[in-house]
Amino acid sequence: MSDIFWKKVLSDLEVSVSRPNFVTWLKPTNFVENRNGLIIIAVPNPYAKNWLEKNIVKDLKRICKEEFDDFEDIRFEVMHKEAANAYDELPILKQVEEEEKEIEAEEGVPNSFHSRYTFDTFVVGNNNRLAFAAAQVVADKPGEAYNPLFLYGGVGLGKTHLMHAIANEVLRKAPKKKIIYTSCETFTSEFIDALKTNTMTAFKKKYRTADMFLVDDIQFLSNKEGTQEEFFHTFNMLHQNNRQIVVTSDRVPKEINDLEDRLTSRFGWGMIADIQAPNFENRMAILQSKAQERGIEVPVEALEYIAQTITSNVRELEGSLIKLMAAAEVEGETITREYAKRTLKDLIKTNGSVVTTKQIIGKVAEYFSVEVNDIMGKSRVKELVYPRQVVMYLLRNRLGHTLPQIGDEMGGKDHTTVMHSVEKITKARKVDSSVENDLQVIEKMFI
Amino acid sequence: MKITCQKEDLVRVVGLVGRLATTRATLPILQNIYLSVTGDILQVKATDLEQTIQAEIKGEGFENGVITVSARVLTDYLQNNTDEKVTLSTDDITIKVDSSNHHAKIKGMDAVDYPSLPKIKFQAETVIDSNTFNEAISKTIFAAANDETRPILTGLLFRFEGDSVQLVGTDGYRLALTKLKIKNSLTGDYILPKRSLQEIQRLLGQGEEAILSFSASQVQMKVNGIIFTSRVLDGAFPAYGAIIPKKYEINLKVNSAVLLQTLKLASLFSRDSAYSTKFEINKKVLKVTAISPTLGDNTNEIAIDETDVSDFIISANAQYLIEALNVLSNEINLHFIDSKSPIVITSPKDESYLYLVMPLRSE
Repeated sequence: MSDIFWKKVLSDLEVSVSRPNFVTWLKPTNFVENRNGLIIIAVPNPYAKNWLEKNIVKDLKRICKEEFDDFEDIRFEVMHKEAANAYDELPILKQVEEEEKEIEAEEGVPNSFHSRYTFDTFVVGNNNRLAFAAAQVVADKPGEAYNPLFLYGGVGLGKTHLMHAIANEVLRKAPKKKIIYTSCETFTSEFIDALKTNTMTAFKKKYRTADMFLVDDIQFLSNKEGTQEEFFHTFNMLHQNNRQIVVTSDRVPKEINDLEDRLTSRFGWGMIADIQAPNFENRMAILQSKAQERGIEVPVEALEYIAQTITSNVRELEGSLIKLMAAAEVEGETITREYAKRTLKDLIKTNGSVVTTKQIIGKVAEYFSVEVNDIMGKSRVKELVYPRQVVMYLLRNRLGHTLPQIGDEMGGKDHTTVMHSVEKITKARKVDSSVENDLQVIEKMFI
Repeated sequence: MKITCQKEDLVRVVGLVGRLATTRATLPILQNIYLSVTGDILQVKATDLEQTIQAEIKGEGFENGVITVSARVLTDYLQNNTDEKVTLSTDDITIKVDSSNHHAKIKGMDAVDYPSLPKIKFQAETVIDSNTFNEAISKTIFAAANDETRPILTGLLFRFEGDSVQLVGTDGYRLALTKLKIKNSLTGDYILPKRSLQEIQRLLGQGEEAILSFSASQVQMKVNGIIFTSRVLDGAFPAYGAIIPKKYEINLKVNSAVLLQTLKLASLFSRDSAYSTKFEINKKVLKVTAISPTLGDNTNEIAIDETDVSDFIISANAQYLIEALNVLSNEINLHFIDSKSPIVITSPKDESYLYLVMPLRSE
């Protein structure tokens, strides 16, 4: 029994309970723990406890018994959200608290940022000039100019690079600053852990005492109400104290699905800057600067070949150049356009990144003789559940997509569902030879 | 269900409890009030899932039963009804409201679905004088936070120790506390939400004495047959003891009305700078200055008893002081330590009262 399981129980109940009742009583509940079959569920107030005990506990027990072997009983406990809220940083208490705080600062996580990601190594073009300028201003006057700074743009265009550059620049000037860099995923999982292990105070303390707060890929906050709430309070606390906040996303705030309005509007308080895909000249400039950085002479026509082939992703662009240079060094060849063509073709083939999400879903559907739409759909018949889990497993292991990303690709599944699926197939593969066989055959289909 | 009551009685109790019925709730039945007849007693109650108010009146010609009905419709109907007596009765889930000249049928909802509290085991109980209690809340509640970022601070701490209870409110920038005598001896900390205390203040007018009962998660107040129940906030209140100064360097006696009026003038000029107002003490004068970069400036002088202080300067948010002076009267004492330590206000009339404001940086 786990959090995922409780979500499933709730979705089973959703059909049999009226919408207002579901929203008022069931939706705000949370799984707390399983004490040898005694399931503890957190409810927001005693009215909810009373209602659930009167109206729903029988159905709940029935479902739990069906789904869960060692189920014994279920208990509702009233837990208020403010209990976990720390009151550190009361300005009025500061004078007396100061000493204690200094000791803590030393214990804090060491600030480590990618040293290559600085403003100097960022190639500026028309596609990213605004974002670059804004980032520089922010690094110069954290918390004063644009707060928050919201950077958005496609994969591999340098959002993270800029973020690290801000951190590196600030640390260069003030090495003692507490800068927290986190991905939205890490924030979410730490938040969930803190809830589970009752360490919310420490969690809050960690984030709310930051001098600068950097969050990557904020779009993964969509659909996570609890985390959004926590993020909202962290954001408020830091913003009120003029701490700089920098957020990146692959789209503008308004287009992030299921993001609370109050967050959307807050993201707009500071500066929203986009990073576009570079044009050909910018791509050439990037390649040239990278080649120079490594002190290797690469003929212009080889660079042109790369710049023409890889058009949308700066990370891949750089990756290809590095691969090319490495291959040339190992093989002792001089780099020419022809050599680049030959090498990169090989690289792309073994790289596996030619396989797309669509292809994986298509092949899996083909193998199991089911429809693509059914795999993406919500039906829970066995014939579809297994192929669906295989797809998620492959997306995770073959394409290395993140859990939330896969959730989105699969038509808006929760990342915990994805995690469950991936784990299930990983385990099954070890013990069930038919699963292993299925996967081998499917994987051969991609070659 | 059936009962006949005086219309005035009915209007009073329906109005008292109906405030908790909200139209904004996701659960439609929360817009309703709950009516139940047992013997010759009509009980009405309403909840918003944080608080419940319950009241009773007597009637005649009764038949036991329960129903819920829209609070707004029933209140508006009764208020505009000029008849003296009203008979309430039910037909399945419709409620009939009949009086000599007016008749109405209002559609209700089944009372089974009305949210209720489980039985609460209270661990502490005390009796408190309504007026003093009301005044104590007024003198502290304004210092509690409105901002939900620190939920605990949106409540007032009730700290029971021996035969008294201390009420403490703080939003992190100022703090107000006062002490009340209670009739029995109790210990324990309870944090009551600001919203519930506003409701409590409203209900305190209904009787001379209030009985307060506490459990770990709920507080209940009984006043003249009205029962109010609210949740208490779950968490620990910040340890505020250390910030209360042990001794002061400068002590002034000031008329609260004079200072209030002065601060109101000064705040006209400090609105755009967080109400930052400068106080200067020089021998026999307290000078209060506010400067606005856009509007202009304002200087005020208040005569004080001769001191040996010269050129003492401190700045503070005038609004914070105004809020305290609004609830204090006659003479007050102003205490200072240095320009970086809190400003403290005490009241000779109420020795347990203390209000403390963080100073602002003065250049």
